[in-house]
Amino acid sequence: MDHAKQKQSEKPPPYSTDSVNGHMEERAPVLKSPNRTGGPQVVPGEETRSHTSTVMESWKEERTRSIEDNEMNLPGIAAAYTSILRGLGEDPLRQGLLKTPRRAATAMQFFTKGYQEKISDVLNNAIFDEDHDEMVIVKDIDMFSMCEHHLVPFIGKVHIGYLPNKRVVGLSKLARIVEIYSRRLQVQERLTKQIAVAITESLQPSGVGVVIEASHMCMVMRGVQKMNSKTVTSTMLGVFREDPKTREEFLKLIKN
Amino acid sequence: MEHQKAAAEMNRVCNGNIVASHNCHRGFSEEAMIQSKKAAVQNKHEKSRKESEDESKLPALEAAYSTILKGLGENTDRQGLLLTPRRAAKAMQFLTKGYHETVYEILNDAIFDEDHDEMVIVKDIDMFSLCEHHLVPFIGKVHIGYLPNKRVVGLSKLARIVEIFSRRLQVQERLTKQIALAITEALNPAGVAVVIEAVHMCMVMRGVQKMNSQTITSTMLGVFREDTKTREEFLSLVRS
Repeated sequence: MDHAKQKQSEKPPPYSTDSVNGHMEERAPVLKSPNRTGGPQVVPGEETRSHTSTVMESWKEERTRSIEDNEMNLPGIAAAYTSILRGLGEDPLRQGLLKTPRRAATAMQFFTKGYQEKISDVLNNAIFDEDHDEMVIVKDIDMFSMCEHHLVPFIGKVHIGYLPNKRVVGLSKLARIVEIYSRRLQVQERLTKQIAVAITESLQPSGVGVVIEASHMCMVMRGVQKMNSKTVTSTMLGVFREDPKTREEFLKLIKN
Repeated sequence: MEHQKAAAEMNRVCNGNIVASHNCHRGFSEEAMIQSKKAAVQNKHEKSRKESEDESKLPALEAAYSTILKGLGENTDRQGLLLTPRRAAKAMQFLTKGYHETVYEILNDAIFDEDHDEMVIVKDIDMFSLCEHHLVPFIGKVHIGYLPNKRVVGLSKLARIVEIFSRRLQVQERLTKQIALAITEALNPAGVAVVIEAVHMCMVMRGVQKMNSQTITSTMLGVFREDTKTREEFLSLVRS
């Protein structure tokens, strides 16, 4: 009965999806492990709100920037960088700095190119029906993101594991999902969750686990200046959350 | 006379003034001097900030960062970004604080007369700098060696010299040379060697995106340049 209602993309997600430039301030969706009637069920929590279709589709319609926007905004950003150089006491006219505002602006646009991309573009073709229900892990995915608080990079590795439920995804697509969300102004906790939620929504697996270990330049180069410290965040959904043994297996397999 | 003039010039610190051309040491060849002058002329504008001015420059930097955030398509009113322009401006000022500082100020007290003429090496000094072309960090390690000539310097002062020159908008080649020249001018050693191995985020995070590549630059002055065995000893001690 619920099963018919809960076909994938038509059911509003059981969490608030206030999309802020593609950043979703949502709670984790609750996935139950496959029951006897088969198929995953998205169980609505008590705080379910009714959503319009635009919000419901928000993870698919996250693009907020286009290539044309980039070109239009470039001079403004470059001018801002020129004034930054002056404010720091440098001479923007010396040879090494002449084209720096433009290069820095282009670089910054590259570091935030995740705003231009949609999950659906990246994933649409590469979901396959496969009778596989063992854990699939892609680990040590290099990740580079920008701390939204200091505009300084944080870099690390992402480990993703999921338990398919008759549908597997192309492996590189997991890395592409990481790219989309990491190439933004981010907070590591939110990044972890967004990756997990995107995989959940696109594949409806039995469970997803995402672990990120990163080194934050804002802690290494300034502030406390602790060179060797790493920040580790994780998001466990579905069976990874419910079943400790599954989680253990995942965590053991991603350890070096 | 000539010597005195050269000596007087030698005492000027390498902080934007034309680097003195002293001929007392072998290995500090004409060519190296010409090269260093070129670098120094480029550096002329680099020491132009006073710490007291930082506060007053902050609003302009904040406004610039706000513009950048808006230009990138972000919503500057959301909670995570509200104070970001200020934080980013302060962070950038911290990352370029080398412009405040001069070698003269930090070194003055810690030079000692010591009858030591064997190599002194301080290696694996963590270095964080900003690429002047993309304003993106490059991070690495600096290894410094010098052969004292009756004068040794406090060891941490070598790391402080690295800090002064690295906390600027830099090019790795120039950074290496500036460190070497600063030590030379301060100590007049028989030779100085500086090796920097760094990873450039502008290559790792964008552009070619080669994660594991490192850039290595070195400057050898004095006996380190002339005498291969000295250089070899330094390089093998640094590698081990």
